[in-house]
Amino acid sequence: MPYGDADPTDPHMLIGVGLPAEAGTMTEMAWVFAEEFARMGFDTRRIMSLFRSPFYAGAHRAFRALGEAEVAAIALECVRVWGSHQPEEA
Amino acid sequence: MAQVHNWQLGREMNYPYTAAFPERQFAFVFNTNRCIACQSCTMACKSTWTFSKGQEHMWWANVETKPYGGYPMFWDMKILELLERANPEGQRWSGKPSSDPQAPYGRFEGRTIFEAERMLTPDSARILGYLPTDEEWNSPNIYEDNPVGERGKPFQWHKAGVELPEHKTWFFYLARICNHCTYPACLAACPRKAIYKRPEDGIVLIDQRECRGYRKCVEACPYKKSMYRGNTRISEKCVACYPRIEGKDPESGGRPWQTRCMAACIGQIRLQGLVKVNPDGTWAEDRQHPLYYLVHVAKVALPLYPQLGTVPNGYYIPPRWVPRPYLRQMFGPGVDQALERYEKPDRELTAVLQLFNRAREIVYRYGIVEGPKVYEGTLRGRRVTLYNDTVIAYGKDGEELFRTSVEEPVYVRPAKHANSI
Repeated sequence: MPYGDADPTDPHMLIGVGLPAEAGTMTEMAWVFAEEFARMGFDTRRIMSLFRSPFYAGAHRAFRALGEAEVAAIALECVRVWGSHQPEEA
Repeated sequence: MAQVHNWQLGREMNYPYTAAFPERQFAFVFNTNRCIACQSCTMACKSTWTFSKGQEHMWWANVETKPYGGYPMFWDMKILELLERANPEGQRWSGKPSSDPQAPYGRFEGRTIFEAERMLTPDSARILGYLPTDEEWNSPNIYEDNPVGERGKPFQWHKAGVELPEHKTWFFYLARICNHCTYPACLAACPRKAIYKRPEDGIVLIDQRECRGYRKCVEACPYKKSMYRGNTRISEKCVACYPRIEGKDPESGGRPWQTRCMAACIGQIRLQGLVKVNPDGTWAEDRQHPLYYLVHVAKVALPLYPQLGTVPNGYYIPPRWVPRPYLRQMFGPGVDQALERYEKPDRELTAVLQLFNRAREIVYRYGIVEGPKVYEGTLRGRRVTLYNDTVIAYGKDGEELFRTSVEEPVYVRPAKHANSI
C-alpha cells in the first residue's frame, strides 16, 4: 500500500513509517478473531469465510500471512471450545 | 478556572465551569477485539442523521484503522503531539490501577487540555486544540476505504482498478462516536454557551438556534466529534440518537432504545446504556448494571485517551494483539489488567459479554442463572472450563428484555426465506 520506502521523518503521514510489532502479532490476531467469532456462535465454515474475504482486511491479512491450513487449525480449536454445542452445519 | 474531580485521572483538574453532573450518564462499551470494520454503524448513522447537503463530510459515527487511520486525518496524533509539548516532562502516570473508585487507573501527573495555558494561542483560547484542515475531513479512513490512485495524480482513480491496499503490520479497528464527555471540551470552549449537557442523561448537544458557527467547539474537542456545516454556517455533532434513548421511537412502545450505530452492529461489539452518577461525578455503585460491571468490577473496558482530561464516556475493551505501549498510550495504565482478565474470562464476564447487542432495548440490569458445565479442556494450552450459564437482561422498569446463554445456538434463515421478515 505505501507508495515508497519507510520515511521515519514523516510523523503524521504513516504511509512510510515503520511500526514496531512483536513477533507473532499476526498469529495472535488470527486467534482473537477466531475465538471471538466462535464465541458468537460461528462454526468453522463461517469463520473461514470471514478470513477468506478481502473486505475484512484484518482477518484477511492474517489469513494471507499464515495460510489456510494454520488458520483452519486455529478456527477448529476455537470452535471445539466455544461451539461444541453447534450442529456441524449450523 | 474551577477545580473539578476527574476520577479517570485520579485527581482534581482545572475546568472552565464548576462541576455539574447528570442523574444518569449516556455511556457505552466497544469490544475492539470483535470489530471487523464492516462500517454498518457508520452507515446507520449516516443514513439517519447526516445525509443532507452540507453534511457530506460528516461521519458522527466512524470506524478508523489504527494506528495510521483517523477521521479527521491524524486527529489523535495531532492532539497527542500538542499534549506532549504541553508536558515536556512526559505524559506520566503515578500509582497503579486499584479498587479506589476515585482513582481506578492511578494518577495522571501531566497537564490535560484544560491545563495547558502556556500553550494556548491566542490568549483568549481556553482549551488546547486545533482546527483540522478541509483536507483532513476529506477521507473518513484514508488508505483503507479510499482508493489511493496513482502517485502524483491527485483526484484521479486507477482506470482499470487496483487491489485493496495491504497493511504489512499490526492494526485494529477503532469505532468512534461522540463520547458525551463528563467535562466536554466543546461545551467549555463555546463563547455563546450554545452547547449543553442534558441533566437527565448527560447527552451533549449543540443548540442549533444559538450556534453561530465560530468553530471553537471543533477546535477544542480533542476527539474531533464536533463538525462545522458550511451551508448552514453552524456546527453539528452526534446527538446520541436521543429520541431513541428517550423511548420516543414510534416502534419502541416507550422503551429506551440503544442508538442506531449500536443496534446496527453485526459484530455485536457494542453495548450502550445509562449509568447512575454520584454527586461527585463518579459512577454510583450499580453492581448488576452491565456497564458498571465491565468498567468498575471486571475492569476490562477503558476510556479512550483519558489523559486528555474530558472524562469520555466511551469505553473500550482493548485489542489483544496490539503492542502494549501503544495501548497504554491510548487507554491508560489499566490495559494490562484489562487484557489479562479479558483473555481468561471468569464465569460472570463470559456471561455478561453475551449481552452485547442482543436487542435494541437499553439494558439496565442483568442477572445470571448458573448452568451446567459443558466443556473442559484446553485452548492454546490454557485450561478452559465452560459453563452454559444463562444471562437475563432487564429493562428500565425491571421487565425482562431477553435471556441468552453462553452457548447461544445460531439459527440461519433458509435462503428462500432470507427476506421474509
